[in-house]
Amino acid sequence: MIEIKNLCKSFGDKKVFDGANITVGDASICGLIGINGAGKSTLLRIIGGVIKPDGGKVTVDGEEVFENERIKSRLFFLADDPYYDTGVTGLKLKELYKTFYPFDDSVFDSYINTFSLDLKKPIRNFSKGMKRQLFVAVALACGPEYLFLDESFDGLDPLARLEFKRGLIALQEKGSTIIIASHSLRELEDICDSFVLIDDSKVKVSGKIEEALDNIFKLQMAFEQDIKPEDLPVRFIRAEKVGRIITAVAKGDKQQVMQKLESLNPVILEEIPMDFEDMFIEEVRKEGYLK
Amino acid sequence: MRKLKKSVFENLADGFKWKIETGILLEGDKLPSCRELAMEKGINPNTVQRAYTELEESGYIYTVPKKGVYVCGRKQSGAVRLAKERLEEIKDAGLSKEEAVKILNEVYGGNND
Repeated sequence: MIEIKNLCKSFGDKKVFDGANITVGDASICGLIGINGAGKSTLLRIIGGVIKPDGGKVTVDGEEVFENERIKSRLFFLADDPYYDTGVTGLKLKELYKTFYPFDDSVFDSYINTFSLDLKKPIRNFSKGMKRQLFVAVALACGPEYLFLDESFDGLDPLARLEFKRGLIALQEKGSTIIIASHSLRELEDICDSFVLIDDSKVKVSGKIEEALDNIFKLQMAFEQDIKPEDLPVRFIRAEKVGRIITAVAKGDKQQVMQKLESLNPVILEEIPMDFEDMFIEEVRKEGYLK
Repeated sequence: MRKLKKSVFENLADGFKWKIETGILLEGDKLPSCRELAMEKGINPNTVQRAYTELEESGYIYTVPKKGVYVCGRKQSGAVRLAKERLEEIKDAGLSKEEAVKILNEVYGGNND
């Protein structure tokens, strides 16, 4: 289990985390989301033990990660731009990782075969997607108990993505815990069972994706009389009125909200479905950001 | 109520409902295991399990412990379900029963005497 309590981290005068609390249970696939610069990569680097938090406690199975070799051999952090030395080939990369992890050659070879990669060529000659494929193969072959992925779907073609997702499911079945920072929310909706949304140096929402989607909903309505959204007996987190049609987003008990609105005899009242991406947009929407 | 975008588990469940209603899947047919389906589609096994639970609760499939998941047989024809869904939309849009029956007779070419 990964537990983060009251995490604080600043770079200069920029506060990236200011009292964030996160728990990721065992054998789960957790999506880490947030706008650009929200701190997703920083969080992964902290949990991966690459950088030290300024304050708070970050533990994996009860042990602090930073400078802790024993726990670090059980986790694998795949950075967005993983390091490799000039001239290093796939084969040499494999040898390097073999010194740190219980490496499964058969898993590695099967992915190399699926992706048709030439291990004798220098990695720097690979395309962006091929580099990703190679590092994905390395990560899955290391079979870590904890796998942290930073935008690792980026640049992969749809077939490679599917293979990667299958690999992640197989890893989860063995009891591994996976955290994926990504902006491909469609992908995350498929593969993750839980999520953490970082906003304003804190965790804004977290939990099961399905439950979060059940809890937020968008409605479109119109009434005989010209009613302003703020005069309705329901508290919305956002409402817009164009002509007589009101579009509003609410959280909480959908049935209760619908009943209250039905009692006003609306001309129309319908739910506009929301997916994970819509939920993200509503949660991080605020004055002044890309609006 | 109309629902356009569906969640991952709803999409999965609806796909099976459709196949069972149209008779593509027949009574006693075996469905892939939760794990097999999750692997094939790259979907979290918990999500697949939720779709199967939904299908089981609404009587489309049944589970034989340690053997697998099987189809219960056609529940209700796909056409009946489609008709219900569409008619509900039409009713919501404000068409009266009388008008609806009139159109129904026109479409089916029957008499309305």
